[in-house]
Amino acid sequence: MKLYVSLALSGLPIGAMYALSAMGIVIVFKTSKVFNFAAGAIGLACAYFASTLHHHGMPTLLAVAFAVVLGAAIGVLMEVTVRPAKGALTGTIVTLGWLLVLQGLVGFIYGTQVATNQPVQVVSDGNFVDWGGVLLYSNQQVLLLLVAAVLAAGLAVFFNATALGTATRAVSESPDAARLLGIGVNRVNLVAWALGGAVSGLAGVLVAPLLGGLDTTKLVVFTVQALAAALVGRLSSLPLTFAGGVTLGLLQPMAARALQQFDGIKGTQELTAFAVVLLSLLFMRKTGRSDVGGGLLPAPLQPLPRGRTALAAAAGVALVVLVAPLIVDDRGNVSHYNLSQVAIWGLATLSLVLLVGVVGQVSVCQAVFMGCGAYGTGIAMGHGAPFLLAIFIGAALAAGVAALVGLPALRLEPLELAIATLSLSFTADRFLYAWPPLASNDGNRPVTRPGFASVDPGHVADGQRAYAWLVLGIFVVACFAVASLRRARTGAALTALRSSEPATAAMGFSVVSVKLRGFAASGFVAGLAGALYAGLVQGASGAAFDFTRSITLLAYAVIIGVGSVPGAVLGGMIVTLTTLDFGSTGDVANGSQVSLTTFFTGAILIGILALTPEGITGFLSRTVRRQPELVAAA
Amino acid sequence: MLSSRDRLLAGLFALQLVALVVFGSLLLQGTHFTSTQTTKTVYVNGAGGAVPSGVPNALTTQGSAGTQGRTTTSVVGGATQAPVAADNSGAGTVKKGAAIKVGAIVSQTGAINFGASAQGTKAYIDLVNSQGGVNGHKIELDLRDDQLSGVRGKSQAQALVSDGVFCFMGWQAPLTEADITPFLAQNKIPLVGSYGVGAEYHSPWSYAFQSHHYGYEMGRFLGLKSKVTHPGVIFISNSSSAVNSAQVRAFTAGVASTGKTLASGDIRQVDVTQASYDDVVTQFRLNGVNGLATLIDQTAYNRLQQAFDRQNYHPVHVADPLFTDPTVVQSSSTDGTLVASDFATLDQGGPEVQEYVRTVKAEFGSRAQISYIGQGGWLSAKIFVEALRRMGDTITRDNLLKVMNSLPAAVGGQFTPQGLHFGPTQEHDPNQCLQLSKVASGRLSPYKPFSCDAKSFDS
Repeated sequence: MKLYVSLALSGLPIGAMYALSAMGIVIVFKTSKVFNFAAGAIGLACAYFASTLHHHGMPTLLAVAFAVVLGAAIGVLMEVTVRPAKGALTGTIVTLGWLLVLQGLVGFIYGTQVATNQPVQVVSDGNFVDWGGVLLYSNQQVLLLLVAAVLAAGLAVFFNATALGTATRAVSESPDAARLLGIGVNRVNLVAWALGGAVSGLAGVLVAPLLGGLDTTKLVVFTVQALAAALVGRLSSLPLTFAGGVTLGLLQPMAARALQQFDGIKGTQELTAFAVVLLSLLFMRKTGRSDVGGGLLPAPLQPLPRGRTALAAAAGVALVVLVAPLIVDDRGNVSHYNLSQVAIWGLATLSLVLLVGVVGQVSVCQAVFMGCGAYGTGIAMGHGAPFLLAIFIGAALAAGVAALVGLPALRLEPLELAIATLSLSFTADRFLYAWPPLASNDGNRPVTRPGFASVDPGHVADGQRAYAWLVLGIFVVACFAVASLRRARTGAALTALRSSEPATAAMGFSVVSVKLRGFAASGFVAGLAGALYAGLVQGASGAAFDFTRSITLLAYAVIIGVGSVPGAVLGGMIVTLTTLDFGSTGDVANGSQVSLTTFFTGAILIGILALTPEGITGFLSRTVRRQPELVAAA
Repeated sequence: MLSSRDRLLAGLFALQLVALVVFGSLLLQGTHFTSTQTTKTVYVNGAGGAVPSGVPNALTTQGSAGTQGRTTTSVVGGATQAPVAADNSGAGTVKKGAAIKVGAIVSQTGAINFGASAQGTKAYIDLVNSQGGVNGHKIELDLRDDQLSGVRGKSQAQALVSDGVFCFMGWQAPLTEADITPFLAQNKIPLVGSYGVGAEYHSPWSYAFQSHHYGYEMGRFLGLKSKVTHPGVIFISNSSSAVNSAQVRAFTAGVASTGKTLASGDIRQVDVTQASYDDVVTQFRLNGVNGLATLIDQTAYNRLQQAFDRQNYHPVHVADPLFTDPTVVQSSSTDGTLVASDFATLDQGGPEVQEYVRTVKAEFGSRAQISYIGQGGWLSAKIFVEALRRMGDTITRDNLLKVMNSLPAAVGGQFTPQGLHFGPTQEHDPNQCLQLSKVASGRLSPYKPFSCDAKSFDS
């Protein structure tokens, strides 16, 4: 018993770290309904900034104060770029762009090595509390606990008892109503983002010394782990966020100890966090607000063209599928391998088009479905199934998992579901991909695809070209299937569901069934992509399907416009481009090139969404629709 | 007449075609083709290449063996030093005087960072090239950063292989290497100087110079300390359960070889990104563990040491060489830590080790990273270059394997004074000895000389 009490208490400071990191996210979300992915990156920038100032002789507290001001300034800048975004999801993806910008900038200035800078220590790390060896906290940990508790209480008072706080809540409940009451919505949003940025900055400065040194990733990853705390507070209550963080901190060490006896179970920390997320989302009261996901969803999917256009389009696509593998070689970046990659990642993007554009749900765990498809293929082949059957068995497994993931969707608002699925992605990295029944003892299942020698005689030994044809063919069929959905009865049900659940029920459809079918179909497509990727690299491994892959897939889908099936091709190209190297590797080993690429990727992402909030294909669609007006005006 | 919607879709399809062209043009810029080089591809049947001696049949039958093989020959015009693509059939020939293209994938961005290895490898190759190369060949190092991404790593390996690199070299990418190793074996591409994941100690195509006897030897070192009555172990959990189980067996057997017992509950597998190790330390402290062997990464060591200090817990501590990384904060409380290492330490290494330090500092200036990891990168390049020297004019993959398998024990020089063991029976487990040093005032002093009680528990 003493052991478990001690273990639980040892997790309290970590809980406070979670809470503090989550508070910046909650403050922003309370007002703008945007989930700030860049909170950890703000903390990162501020921690490095404080370290530099201190290194140049500035007193510690002054350096921390300047870092907090920098956090607030970044928050203000972010608000300005998020403002044009239409919908919470688009705004959230803009913050993802900021994450890349800040991470790239810090990496370029300081390098990407680990522990390049010593973080500022506000207090020494000497022991503060020692109660008989049961409870042992250092000064830093106690300071963090106090700061988190005071901030939670103080900000709760601010939001509930001050005029600005009341205005913030009013903007949060209904921006239009607040505007009618004379509240400066933009000004309130600016204040909230500045406050959120400042808190994130402070969290970064205080948490960094406890993470063993500064680098460009650890704080960002830690903030993702802190999501559970934010969700316990339903992304609105700061005291509950604090309680959530502390609870998580207390539970994780006990769960790790309890599960220690099970050799095959890894990632107990993440499993615990995921359990906390699920329980808090499923069993706490629904917010009842209809605007939580307000503006989240993009334009609905466009149906297939008909008549001669359809024929011309089909012929064009068929031509591309047939000709493209003939004109590329196996060397360099223009290769059959990369052609297959374009189709596979295009298929993965298509699964999001289906889920977001048709079903109207959001998922940040498509890579998990891909992983299930890949491992499912490996398992099926291990039992003697031929490759072409095994990939569909793998996809079916992914569909089943997706249907399970869809269950919480019955209760959750879209953005809450997005965050829950992100937590699932993180858990899959540590737990699912190390779980022997799925991933095997080696974490890697062989997937030997056929050589297709009879299909493509006299060509590449390992069948890369024939495989490119197969993958492209499956991709095109999947595109037509998804685009055709709107013509079928299921499509009508999905369209109705997207607009109104009561209306869907009134039309005689089961809301539960339609949602689950939508998730399963999306999971099937993603699983197929994962299975084909396993065939491409001839092995199933979770390393290709980590949580960052899920995030970037959603980001690219939003950029291209999730209402567009043809846009999936662009998605495939973008993901493939990110896997390639260009130019020289002269600056290798100091990270400048990678950091600059990261920076500009983020900047481009922000720029595109600022110029075309509905995504690239949405912008093109609008332009074409307005063409007659433009011609007339000319 | 077409409706606006039809026109939109037609436009989108046209856009895709345009994007395809743009995409293609962009990619072409990155293919490294030069105007002075043309490549002719000839497809032949069954060109599997000669199987090197000592290669088990099970592995040689994987991949392209028994299917259609491909031979790429290159006609080089203009500068004679242009790199030549080697074929992927296992024979891989480089013409006289041509540059030898070598691939290396190293994780240099991310929570686990082996940038120091990349610097060590690059610095050594640059040094050799500045002295005229090897037997008239310059070495063209194509060094990639997988950014700890499996997708990038696979894509890079694929691109390098299809570009015809002669072999892979240098310490690689710990998290993606396990996936890449079988791919290289399938394509019969040698891997000289890998990080050391389980498969690399069994593949006839790879050579890991890092010992995989750490678990056993560290367990033994710990058990030999008379003060240790209740040993414990912390190691970083691998995604492969088989590797984790092998590690547990190795530590347990190592401790058992001294007549002591390591209870299964006193072995903790931790995640490298875990924000704090307070819970692990609390458990060991309350259970009365008074001796710890730890096999974790450099930033994790900082978190572990913080937890030790907070809880005023100072067991006998046997750490791996990453404990001596410059990024690990040394203080009075780290004094007395014992560090197991399969290389000569930076503090104790002779002129050859100091040459590594000097060269990397000269090339990378303020961003130079001098560490055990960097030594690994440098040593890999050094052994590869030595093998090239011995190959003379026969620069083929088969010959590389033959020469590697016959290298003398002293090939590692002062980096591995205990000697490396190459040969028909031990060719892929060359480093079987570890020494123990003691930390005092942040520096290492000799404590126990190299011990070569080679026992493998690898999966």
